[in-house]
Amino acid sequence: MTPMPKYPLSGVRILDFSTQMACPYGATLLALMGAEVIKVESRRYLDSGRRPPSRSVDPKVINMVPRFNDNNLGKLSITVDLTNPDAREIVNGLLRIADVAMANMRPGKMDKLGLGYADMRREKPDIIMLSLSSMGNQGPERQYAGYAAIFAALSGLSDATGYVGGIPTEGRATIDATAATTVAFAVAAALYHRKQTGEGQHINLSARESVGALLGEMYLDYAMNGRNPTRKGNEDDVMAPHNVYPCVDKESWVSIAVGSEREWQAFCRVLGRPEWITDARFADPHVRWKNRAALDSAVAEWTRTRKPYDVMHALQNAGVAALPSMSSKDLFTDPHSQSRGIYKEFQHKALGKRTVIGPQWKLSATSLDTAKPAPLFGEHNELVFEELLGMRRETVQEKEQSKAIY
Amino acid sequence: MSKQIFEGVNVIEIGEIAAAPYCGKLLADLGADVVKVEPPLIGDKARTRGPFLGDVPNSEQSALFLYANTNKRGVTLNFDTLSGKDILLRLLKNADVLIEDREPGELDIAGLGYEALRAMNPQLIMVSITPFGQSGPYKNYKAYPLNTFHAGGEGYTLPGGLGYAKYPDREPLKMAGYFGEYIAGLTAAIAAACALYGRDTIGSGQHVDISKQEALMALSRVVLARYPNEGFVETRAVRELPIGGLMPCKDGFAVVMAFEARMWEGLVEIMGRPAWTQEERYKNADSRVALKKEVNGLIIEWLKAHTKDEVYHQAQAHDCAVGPVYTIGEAIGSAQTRAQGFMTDLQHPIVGKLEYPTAGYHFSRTPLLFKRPAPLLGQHNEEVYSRRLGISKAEMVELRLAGVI
Repeated sequence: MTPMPKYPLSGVRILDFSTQMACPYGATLLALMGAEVIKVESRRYLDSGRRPPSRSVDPKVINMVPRFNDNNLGKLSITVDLTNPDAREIVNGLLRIADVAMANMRPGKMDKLGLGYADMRREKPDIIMLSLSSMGNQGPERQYAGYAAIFAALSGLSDATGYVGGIPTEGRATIDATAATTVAFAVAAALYHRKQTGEGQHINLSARESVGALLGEMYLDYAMNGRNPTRKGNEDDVMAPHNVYPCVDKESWVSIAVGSEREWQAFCRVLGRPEWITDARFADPHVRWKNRAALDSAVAEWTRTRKPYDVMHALQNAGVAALPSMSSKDLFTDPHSQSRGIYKEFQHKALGKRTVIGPQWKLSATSLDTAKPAPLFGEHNELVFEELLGMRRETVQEKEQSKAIY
Repeated sequence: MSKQIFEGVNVIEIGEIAAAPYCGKLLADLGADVVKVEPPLIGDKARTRGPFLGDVPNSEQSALFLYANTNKRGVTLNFDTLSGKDILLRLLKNADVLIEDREPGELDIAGLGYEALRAMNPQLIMVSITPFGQSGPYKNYKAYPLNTFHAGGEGYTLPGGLGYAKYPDREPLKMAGYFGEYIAGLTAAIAAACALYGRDTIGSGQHVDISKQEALMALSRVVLARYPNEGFVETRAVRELPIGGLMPCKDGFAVVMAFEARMWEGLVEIMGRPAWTQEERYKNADSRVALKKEVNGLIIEWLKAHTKDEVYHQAQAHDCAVGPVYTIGEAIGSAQTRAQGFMTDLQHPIVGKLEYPTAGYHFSRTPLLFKRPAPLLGQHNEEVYSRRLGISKAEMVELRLAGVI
């Protein structure tokens, strides 16, 4: 009897050939949805995500990189050297029991390893293959290298983000995570399609385009009006106050945004400035917006003697949008995120007790208790080779000797 | 020709601005039949938000609305009225997915909460997208995109690098546009797709609770986990790349990434092997990082004589990761963007033909089809109400006069 599927992606098996952050984290999101993800790695070309700053490849050290843990939650790990011809039958065996294969080598590299989409289809006709690259697998720049900051720069996000009159803004790891989130959606969609039609397919995913897709209205503004966005800081085109204001402690800030007239009046009362409601500089949304510089400094005068949470409580009680600009400490100690249970704790075999951010979805029919530690390097060799692939112990040992398993 | 990915999936969307509509768009662009329900006369608030064609505010000319609602049908419905609610329930009776962004509790009071809908249609997947989710002390807190973004973790650390060096006393910064909202929509779309995938084996639909704050926290998971594990709090001051980062050049800015040995070698090569790069203290990776301020200064000196595109192509040919900081216009015009087919033309009855960005993914079997532009307000009332629900012409007139549709 087959057990009741526990998670949305129960029964889905994913081979994760990827390294660094964006693609591995994309596979992790699918693991958090219940897929079984097998990370296929090798010390011949160690995932730089496993590399500590010291660059050591000491097996103890490579299992102790916190960042690797957080980006590879709940996966299995096996060590197979894809460049070793003797590894071929293992890889083919894996493909035959897989639903999805994910990779982020530069375009063409998987083909050279005999692991292009056409090769995979020969072993598993309905496989879904996802190739993530910086630029996509077509076009003159397809071989170019990229990291988060480069995707942000090429898409237009860096140029659009910054203080009024200031310089562009560098993108960081959240941009890798943006590409990863796009990866997870594309694979989940292809899985649904395969279930309906029996057809697999190849997905060419461009990290830089995954960021561009989040700037749609700016792209359309360019198409409509031939105009590039100006950097607006925290300001809005219509609303004022609409900014982040300094609070009493060093590096403590609160965001405040006032939309409707009702909110404005409530805001003025909380600040003890009911006279602003009829002040000619602030009396309607348009003049308020025009005089936003004066308004912002007046608001900052009030926030500067207060704590962000006190401002939040006072304004939210009056129905006005105000929240601290939350640091990692604020978020962990915040009563809301604590009550939501977004932080999960587990024992990692090498790192010990770890706290991580769990799944970012809550599902009513399937509790997602899927935030599990990332695998140690090769932790699941025995399980995968012997139990899943049915290899004999001696065969496994031969493959270890030939360094196909390495 | 293969079926579209979500062909035959019926989606009802009650959503405004960017988050819930983007979730609907992601499904619609992959072939789902998405009916967007808007309040009569006013419509989705995105219609009142710019940028507008020619800067003329018009509910059919908002770039935000046009982008976030492609491939959908649109109806107007006031479901606060009894007959409006009845129509919505009839639409939901056979729906696969409901996407909604009302304040938690609001639909329950209207008798349209998940429990009520589940009783009528147990296969329904209800996706609720709100700033703080359906539970917890802040669930009813008010938050605009600015507030949600700054409550998500990334805001507190923006800008790092050169941005912080230049403006160390300024406030944390919001990412441009509706970044956090789109991320929430994308996060919700993953859940919708997975819930659809698992529905036959799980045996029912379910309620998906998406908190925009948590969608953003997940993006920053590595940085955020450092506090509970190490007591480390990332700030704008410590957020910086070892060597390189955002740097000024002759015609703007470029991002230089040279933290790996081969990348550094490539950079040295294209700089023409200047004498300083051969000095031991700069050759050695560890001491180079220790001297990063000086090193970055020397790189900038060289960069300032070169354009961002020159440096981009030269560096990439030498295995060094450099990226030009493109304006949106430059991004759209780039040869790579064109060759990948990222942009597509779409004709709209009022704004005419415009070029839209598509998506980061390109499926080999099921190419994205942009069949219809964002709906005009109430454009598909007749198609949906009379043809699908069988409401008569005479009744449609009554409902319109009563302000229901």
